[in-house]
Amino acid sequence: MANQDKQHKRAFMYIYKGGTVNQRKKELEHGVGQDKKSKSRSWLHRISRTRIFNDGHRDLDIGARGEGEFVEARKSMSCLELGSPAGGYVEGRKSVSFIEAAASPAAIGSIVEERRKSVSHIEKNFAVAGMVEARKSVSHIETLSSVIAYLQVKVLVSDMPSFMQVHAFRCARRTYDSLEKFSAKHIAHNIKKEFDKAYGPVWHCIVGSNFGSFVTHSTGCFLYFSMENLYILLFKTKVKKALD
Amino acid sequence: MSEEAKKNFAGALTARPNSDEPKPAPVPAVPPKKVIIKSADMIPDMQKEAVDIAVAAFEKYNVEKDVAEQIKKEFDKRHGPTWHCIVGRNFGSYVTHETNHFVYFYLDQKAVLLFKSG
Repeated sequence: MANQDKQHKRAFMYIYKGGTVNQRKKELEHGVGQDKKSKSRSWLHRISRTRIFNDGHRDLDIGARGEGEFVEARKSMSCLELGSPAGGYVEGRKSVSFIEAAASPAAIGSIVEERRKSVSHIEKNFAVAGMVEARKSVSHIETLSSVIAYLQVKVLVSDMPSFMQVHAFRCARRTYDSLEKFSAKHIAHNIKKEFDKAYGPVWHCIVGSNFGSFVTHSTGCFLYFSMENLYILLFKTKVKKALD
Repeated sequence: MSEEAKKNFAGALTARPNSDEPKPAPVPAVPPKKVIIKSADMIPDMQKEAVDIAVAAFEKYNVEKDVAEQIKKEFDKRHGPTWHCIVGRNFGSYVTHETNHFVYFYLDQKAVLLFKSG
């Protein structure tokens, strides 16, 4: 099942396992997200801090060379820079706060503020093509709560900017609705490909109704949400090669 | 969540990628669990190590995320970061992994996905 990607050292794998839905297991899955995020972030935070220093240095070299590969690396590094100064937890709080604010009609100011931050993020991190796509997502931020309601999704754990969350929701819903025959593997494939293309490698996606996991992810690049009776885990890891 | 070992599992599929299936040594008072390597891009020694760690983890923990945590941390320690582990009965996935650092196997009714990336 292995396919060779442009990066010869890496390969893509499809995995699917069918089974019956177990109500009790779902409770475990809820616990999964919170515990996993808390611990893995704690570990990654230290690593991120170290890498940011190095990345800062590499950034200069990257700018000078202007090669495609390094442009890609810059995207990833910028993501870390955004998250780390304030700490992953602050980023997480921002996301949560925004959701709460969106639910309250009176909190218009917060929405505007969040929107500005996201725009700034986009300008710093994406190439022209990426920017266009990202901007479209941004235009939906004001109605994040309505998007969630419309697409019938529920955010369980998030360490990700709002526009990226909306992007994931839309992608998941579009794929799910378009499938004649359900396939968790297919949904995972579409979401990962979409994110690899839009936000740079390397993303990983797990879709299912019964699973537990423990992963390490980049700061600001983790999302665990549910849709219908499915739970979807989406996260990003550093591309080691690009940082050498 | 039942941890009972079941030698005959309905619907269990034959492993195509590897005809040689490594099995853990029988543990006293605990019947050996059925292991099926569904897909692997990993050296045999490491595969067996993954299975052994998984068997031990299932005996020690009941919650799937704890099993996944145990396996991932053990591999981070032994083979360097960064590993990721998914454990469950019903899930599909699409991931990118480093060459020679991927394994997906069944342990009775549970599937374990372990890979290195980053």
